[in-house]
Amino acid sequence: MIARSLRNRGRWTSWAAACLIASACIGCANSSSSGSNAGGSNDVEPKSPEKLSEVAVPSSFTFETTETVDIEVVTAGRHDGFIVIVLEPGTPDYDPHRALKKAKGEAGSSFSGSVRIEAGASSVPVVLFENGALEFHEVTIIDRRAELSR
Amino acid sequence: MGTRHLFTLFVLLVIGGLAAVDPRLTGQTVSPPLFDAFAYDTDGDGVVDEFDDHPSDGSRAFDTVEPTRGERGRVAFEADWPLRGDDDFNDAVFAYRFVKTASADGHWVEWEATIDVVATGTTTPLGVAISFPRLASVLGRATVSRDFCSAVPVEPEDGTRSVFVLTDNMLDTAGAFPGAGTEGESFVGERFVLTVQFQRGIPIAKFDGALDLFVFYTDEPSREIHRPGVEPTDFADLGLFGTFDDASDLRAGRTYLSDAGLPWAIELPHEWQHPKEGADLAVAYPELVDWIESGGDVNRTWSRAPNVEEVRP
Repeated sequence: MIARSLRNRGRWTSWAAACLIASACIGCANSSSSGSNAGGSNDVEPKSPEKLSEVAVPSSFTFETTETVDIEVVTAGRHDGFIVIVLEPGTPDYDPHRALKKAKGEAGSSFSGSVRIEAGASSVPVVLFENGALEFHEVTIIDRRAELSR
Repeated sequence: MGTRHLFTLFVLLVIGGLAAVDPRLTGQTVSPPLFDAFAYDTDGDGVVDEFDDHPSDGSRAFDTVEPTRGERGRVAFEADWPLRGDDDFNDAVFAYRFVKTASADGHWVEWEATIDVVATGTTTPLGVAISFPRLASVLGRATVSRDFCSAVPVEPEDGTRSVFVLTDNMLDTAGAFPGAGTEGESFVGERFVLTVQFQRGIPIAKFDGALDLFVFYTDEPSREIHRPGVEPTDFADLGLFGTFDDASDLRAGRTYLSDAGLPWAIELPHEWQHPKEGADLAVAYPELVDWIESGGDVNRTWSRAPNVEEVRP
């Protein structure tokens, strides 16, 4: 019994050692695959600055939170002209409470104007009212310009 | 006529009146509708009432509203320019709404800027002013009202731009004192309303402008503080640029930024909780740092995610 006990202890010791080695390997693998640092398991997450004066500001950054976008709307000739309504970015449908700018255009004319919106929007909703009907358009902003042609 | 007959007559009158309002009661169709905002043009200016912001005034039709119809914006200043301060951006904080009214035929009628003092976290007396593109050739009349008092005429200081001074010292008014609005106390600051009325026939396509709200030192009016990238007025001391912590390059249009790229004023196009006294902006708004370091690509909503322990409620 004692001999079997000794043999078992040896077996358990080997098994325990294998488990320890395996867990260490798993720990290494996790530390190298997590976080934004690629390359080494010794990379450390940068500490966020605690003061504005410690922030690394890109040279071209100007803290701009709003921007002016030029709007151009060109319509084909209609009977009685049109109304153009520019809405806040992100407005899913015509909502008079979210209108930024409105203007009236004569039949066959175009509208040119500008609106100030939160910086970074990729599109701006534009609603046209022509001949008694509302049309909703999501107009892409490219280089601070949104063009709609109908 | 007996009581029963009077009662019956009364009931018939009520039913008839309701039927005139709600045709479902009688099964009849009311035609045309009693009111259709898409069909009616009350003031006859060619814009149906649904889209007319002034449906009973034929001289006005469309309002362009900044930042939005639902919220006021904020402009917040650090007042020590050209030196850096404690970066709590509460030395002077204002809520603003800017409404530009045009006629149906596309001519400016009026611009109105409403400015509310939200915080005065400095002991330095500061004046408050608004500059617009030069209005000399288009201006009809301008007035300023303070705290809902009667509006008084005001003349702009005209240079390259037209400058309207709202107050020479925002601390020199009832309800304002150094530190007001920077801690937990309830504070309602002064309201200024600047109204600019245009001469007739100024087309919106040929003249437009954004609101430039800025502060200046009461005892040194040529020491102006604007948002980054905004040019100073003709009345500013250009000799202050490039001194101390300022690293402006006027020729490149890079103004009011430090050598580390930090501003002395920020604008938020929505309601905003400014930091408490001495609370660094980066601590008050934890998502700010990544927004800056990414060049504005991430955390664009940083200004809507405050650390509630570090901002005014």
